[in-house]
Amino acid sequence: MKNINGKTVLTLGVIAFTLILAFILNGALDSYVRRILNLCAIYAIISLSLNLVNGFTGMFSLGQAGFMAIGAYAVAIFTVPAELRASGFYLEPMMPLLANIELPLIAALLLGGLLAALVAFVIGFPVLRLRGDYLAIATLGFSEIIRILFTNMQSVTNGALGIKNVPQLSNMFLIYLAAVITIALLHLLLTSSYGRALKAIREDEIVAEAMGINLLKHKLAAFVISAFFAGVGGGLYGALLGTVDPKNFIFTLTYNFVLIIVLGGLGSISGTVIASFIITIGMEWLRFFDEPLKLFGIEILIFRPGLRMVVFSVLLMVIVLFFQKGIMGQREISFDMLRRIPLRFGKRREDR
Amino acid sequence: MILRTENLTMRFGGVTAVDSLNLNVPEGGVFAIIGPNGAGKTTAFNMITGAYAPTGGRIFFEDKDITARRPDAITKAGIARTFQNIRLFKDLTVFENVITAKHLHLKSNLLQAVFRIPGISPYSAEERTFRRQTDELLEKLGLSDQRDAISSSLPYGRQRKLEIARALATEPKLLLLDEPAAGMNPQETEELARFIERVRNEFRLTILLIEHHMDLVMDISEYIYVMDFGVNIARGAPAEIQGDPKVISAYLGSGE
Repeated sequence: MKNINGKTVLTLGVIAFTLILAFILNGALDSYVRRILNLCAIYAIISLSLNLVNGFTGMFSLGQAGFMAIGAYAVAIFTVPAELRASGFYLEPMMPLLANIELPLIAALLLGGLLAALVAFVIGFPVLRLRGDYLAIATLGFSEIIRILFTNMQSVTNGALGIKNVPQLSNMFLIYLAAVITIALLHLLLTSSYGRALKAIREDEIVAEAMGINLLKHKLAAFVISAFFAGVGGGLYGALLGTVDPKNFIFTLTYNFVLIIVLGGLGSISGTVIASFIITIGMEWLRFFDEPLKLFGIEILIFRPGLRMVVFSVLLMVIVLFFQKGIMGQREISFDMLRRIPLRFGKRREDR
Repeated sequence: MILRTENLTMRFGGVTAVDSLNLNVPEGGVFAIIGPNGAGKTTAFNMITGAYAPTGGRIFFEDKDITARRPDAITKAGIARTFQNIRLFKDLTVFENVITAKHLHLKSNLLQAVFRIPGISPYSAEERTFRRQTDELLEKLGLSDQRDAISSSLPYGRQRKLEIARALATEPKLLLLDEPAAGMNPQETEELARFIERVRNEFRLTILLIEHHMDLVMDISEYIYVMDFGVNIARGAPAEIQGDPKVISAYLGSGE
């Protein structure tokens, strides 16, 4: 029992340290670096939500961009100050019912998450009966439908013009708090009996069902929870950008998160978080690929906008071919694991 | 009767895999379904456990109609099974494999399981009970020395045992074993026979098994159903079956 308490204290210590660090860095960093670090945390939230479905439950969903769009629009619609809305909605005025409702950011985030979860629940019933590739196609189609709906709901979403003047969120503390809460809740879920049931479904659906696990119920729960966190993450994303427009949520956005969870390890929370930082920072750092490059006075023709994505695609292929388990596989970083590292060195010295 | 089937029939297109099967399995004891390859034994199992919906006939478990119910509902009602080709959760440990099968007894809902604050949520107490029961079960079946080993790293015979342990963790009243001795040598088969008898006695359940190994079947079962081409051609005690000319011709050919 003492051991568990020690670990709990240590865990709380790490959480407190992360949040204090985020709080301090928030004041110390310039806005560019801060923005990238914020994006890392937001990508971590969304990737974790995708990993819950793809990595832990063994389904293959590609609908994250759609759920993000729902969350982002909830934030955009309800947090823009009412007096600024009319200037944005100039093609068609905002629906009177919504035009005067203003919500604080946190309420809008939760609303976005809940709406995404609700949508996931409704589409989950028919879609989750599909397996493998079919589920991927259905969820991909869903995310495009959401985007096209939002493009055409002029009086609610301002259509293709998008919503501008969303109060920008750059508070690292708040974003990292959201990430820490997401990690904590998913950890608690996955280490519970429900988490074991989800992993059983991933391992072998037929056996899981024969062990008394209701497949539809558990898959639906994972899908809905995933949508909730994707909705919250999408809301944060919208608030970080300051503008929300349907083009932000093309299905290719989802591929970023697929890349992150494959790199980090399908079925690993810590791997996902690490990979979110690697990919997000890498995306920025590799920007020089998109710029024209002159070597010895000769322009290298392949250095032009888009090369960055080629590099990322190659990276994904390399991972799939040579590092199928990603950084962490299905393992997690834990205090036990960290404690074993010095032990391992000590042992080697004894062996001599 | 713990299990009863009435004219249980399964057709796949033009093929009748199981034709009007009538099983009557009383409580307690070991019962067997035998027959050559393709006789429809596993199909019968799949219908009883809900993996297939029968095209005809009905299945009664403890006099309740369970025909075409979902597999998880049937397991909850008290029928557990193992598979012909061992199907463990390969990447999970021995302990995790077994405790996963406890999930169907969980009463806490998802929120109680996530926000498991002791005193408010009943989850922690339930989890402790599951862990204790799982460790007891592993101890009883002699698997506790490999509690934390990845299940696919176990030797073949122990994987079989683990699969039975996992099925027992659901606390079934009726246990269906699909060819438990497949791929075993005579000595392992003998050990398995004792193991099955011990399980039957210690857990006070009824066992229905499908088997090719005649010696195992004759050794432990009280009553045998013989199937051939989907039809139940003979039934009776082991001694009666052994001498039945229809059974001999089904297994060895009719000599024409």
